[in-house]
Amino acid sequence: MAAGTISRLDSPLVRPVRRATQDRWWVRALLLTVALGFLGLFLIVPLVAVFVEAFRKGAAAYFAAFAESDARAAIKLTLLATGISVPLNLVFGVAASWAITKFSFPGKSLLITLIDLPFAVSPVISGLIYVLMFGAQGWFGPWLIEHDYKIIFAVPGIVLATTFVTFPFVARELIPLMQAQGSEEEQAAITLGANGWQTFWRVTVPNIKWGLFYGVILCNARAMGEFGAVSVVSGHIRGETNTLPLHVEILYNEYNYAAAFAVASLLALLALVTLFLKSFVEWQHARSRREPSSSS
Amino acid sequence: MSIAALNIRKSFGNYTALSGVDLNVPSGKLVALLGPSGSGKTTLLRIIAGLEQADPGSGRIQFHGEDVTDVPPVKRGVGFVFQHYALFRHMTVFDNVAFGLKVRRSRDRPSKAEIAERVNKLLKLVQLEELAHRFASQLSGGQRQRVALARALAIEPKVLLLDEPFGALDAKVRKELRRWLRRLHEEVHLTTVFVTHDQEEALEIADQVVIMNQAKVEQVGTPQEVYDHPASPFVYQFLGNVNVFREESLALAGNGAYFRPGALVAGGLVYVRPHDVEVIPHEAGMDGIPAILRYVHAAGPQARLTLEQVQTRELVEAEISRVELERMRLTVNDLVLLRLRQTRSFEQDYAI
Amino acid sequence: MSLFRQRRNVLPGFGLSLGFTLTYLSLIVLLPISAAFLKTMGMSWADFWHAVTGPRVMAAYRLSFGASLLAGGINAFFGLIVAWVLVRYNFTGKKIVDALVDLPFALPTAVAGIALTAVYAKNGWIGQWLEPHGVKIAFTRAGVLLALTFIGLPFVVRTLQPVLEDLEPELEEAAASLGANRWQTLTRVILPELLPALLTGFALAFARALGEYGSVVFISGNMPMRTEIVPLLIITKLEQYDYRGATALAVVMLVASFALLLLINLLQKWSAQWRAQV
Repeated sequence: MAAGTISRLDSPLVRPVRRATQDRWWVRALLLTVALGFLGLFLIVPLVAVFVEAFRKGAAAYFAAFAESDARAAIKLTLLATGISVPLNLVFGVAASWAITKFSFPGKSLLITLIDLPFAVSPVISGLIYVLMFGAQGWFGPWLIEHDYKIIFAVPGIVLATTFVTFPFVARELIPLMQAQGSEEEQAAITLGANGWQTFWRVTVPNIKWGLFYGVILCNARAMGEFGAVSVVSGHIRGETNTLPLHVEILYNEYNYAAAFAVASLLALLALVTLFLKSFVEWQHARSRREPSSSS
Repeated sequence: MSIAALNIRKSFGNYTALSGVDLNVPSGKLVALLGPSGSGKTTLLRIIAGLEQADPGSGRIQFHGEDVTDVPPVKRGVGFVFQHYALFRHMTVFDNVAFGLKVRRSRDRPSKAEIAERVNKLLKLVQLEELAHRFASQLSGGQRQRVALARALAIEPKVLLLDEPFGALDAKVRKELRRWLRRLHEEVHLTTVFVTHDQEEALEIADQVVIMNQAKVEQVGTPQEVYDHPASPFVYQFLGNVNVFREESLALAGNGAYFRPGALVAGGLVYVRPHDVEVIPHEAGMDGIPAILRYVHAAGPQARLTLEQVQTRELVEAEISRVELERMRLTVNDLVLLRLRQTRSFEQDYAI
Repeated sequence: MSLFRQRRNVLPGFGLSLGFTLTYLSLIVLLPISAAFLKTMGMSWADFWHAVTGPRVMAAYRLSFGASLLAGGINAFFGLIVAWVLVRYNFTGKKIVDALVDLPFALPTAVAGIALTAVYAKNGWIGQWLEPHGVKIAFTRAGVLLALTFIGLPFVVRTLQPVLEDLEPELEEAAASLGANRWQTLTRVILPELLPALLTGFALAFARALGEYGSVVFISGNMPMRTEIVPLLIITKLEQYDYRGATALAVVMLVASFALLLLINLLQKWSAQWRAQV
């Protein structure tokens, strides 16, 4: 009798009851296989392919692809365009989120929508609109020709198109972050005698630095990798108006696959570094959130 | 430094936060702005601080008789403690307190050693010397509150303003901290205004209580004045438990000899605090409102009784000492008589 | 100016920050976009209509919208599974997989294009296994679909993940305690909760696919009437110096994009309300 009672009491312990939020083992196995299979086929295989193709003709051919003067010019131009557009959009992002999150004014939600606009526009159209402004047929075309300035099929056009497609990145990260943080700390700084710049640099910037960094790495990745918009305004002049992605295209269209993939692998590496930094920032953020926050 | 607010109006869109409020805070006093949420008390505090501006064309703010309406917060010489403290989360306790000194222009800025000395003195005052190098996230609520206070005091304000200073703390810490604030006030004697929705808090530590309701000041006075002589039904109800009798129901019970009519107005309501309800065992021929004892809550030194009036079936709360309750040997469902020691009624009654 | 005067706030810098924001926004974004609309104003209605409804254009619309919708649908289905697996299950390498989901955001589209082509061409790693079965991906419409699925992949996963994380286990426990089996709980409790976010993710993936260019041009083969998407057609017209034709098409696509942006904003508002109610 006693043994029977014990075993009956024990049975839920021996065979644990499946929790209501838990799937059956075969469901788990199936979903896991489908998810990983899908990601493998779509993400991992192409990513690995880039590196394998790049080294198909050996390490010497790989590094030769970068020794070429056109490749170096493309790297320089990509760095230049990124080096101008990212800081511009950084300053813009900070200014826009300061105005939007610290003050109230009519038309604010329209402004937020307009800031997001470049994400909704096809890269090709992003290039086209600058051709319409500054191209030979464009609004300012005749004036530019007369004064011998070149924007389209030249470096300024590439910088403009890159700035356009990366326009929202920093603002988009900062607005929700600064909205969540509120402005009490800034108000406290003001009541303690800090002026505007002191408040901004000593109180706001330390609080938003990770969001800022996050926005900048995403902005940077897109700026270096942009293809469609830059393609429209570049004119594809080798050694002059080719960025790295455009250089990949030219090499590829010339059936110089090994070199094309070698240059592509550099961009893929950049993407991996971006993903790593992004995860790192998210991890930092999650860690800071786990610590007891100031109000609750 | 005395503070005066004259005819302050403030609205946010269609919402009126303050409708023509006057306030006088005498120099060196500890004043509580007391009211339910949405009564406008925090808005008033922020306008005094200069964090908000009153509506254009409305009243003025004066500090020591001098008009400061258009003076920015820092030049008013106010120390402000925010409800959620607004500590700078990337700075240590020390750096938080030192902030107001470090951001001064170089010719006004004390030397590093002087800053350290002053910060340490303040940290000693708020009993946090040993936590100087912790970050805000590593502190308890009460400790954060004291850091916020030290930080506000560091700039040597002439006026200290606190927004719900104990609102985010648990009950025990709250009690300790408010007594500590009272002692601190006696040490530094700074004109201090704090906002609270907790009447016990206001009545316990303030020199003067300003009771606000629906964008207006209802009454100003010492804690004893406002408690004993509430100016309106709202104040009466807000400052403690209260029984409300309709005058007819009292008339029904007899000739009214068992309560002091006071300022009774015909057709009005009569307010009685539970501890002013006298309960006596029922005896034929004696004056009193007959009632039946329904429930006894006897934890603590006072017993709270819930009684049902025989004629109107309305419920009444009474508070009597445990000793008295035991002497009368009352049990539930006994018939008793109620007498009202101190009652109050108001000219213009409106629904509350 | 009095409209923008700040009376409520002691924080400085309103004029400076808003002024800079509006100026920069106007110069970089609004003015150039309005150039496209103004350019088409110069066309007669008949010319415009002709430019945006020719047979080659219609074929491009069909492919662009059709493949984008389909790619959005594929991503909604698999994205739901991926998000579920990433939120609910534990497995080794989960963090890496989670990070890799964003690869299509980070990888330049041209690189994605040549990589997908290399893998799915008839001599590629996967293409060589499909070829004998008569399945061709590279240089067909299937290739367009493949590329559009790739670049839209993160959207559904990333909109669903936070919602799934916030989903209270009590909901499922309550459903189970009331006698629902797992499938009923999924279809009647969980999916309705996820619906707004799922639709938002779908719309985002669709919008992104509609404008995509870089990853598609390498794998599609760019045959007019068959594998030519609208953005490519715009470039073709530009290269033939047909600025008006290109601009007219661009305006059609811009209007479609704005409509989608509006829809996505509404969906996100709905989604936020939905979550706030629960």
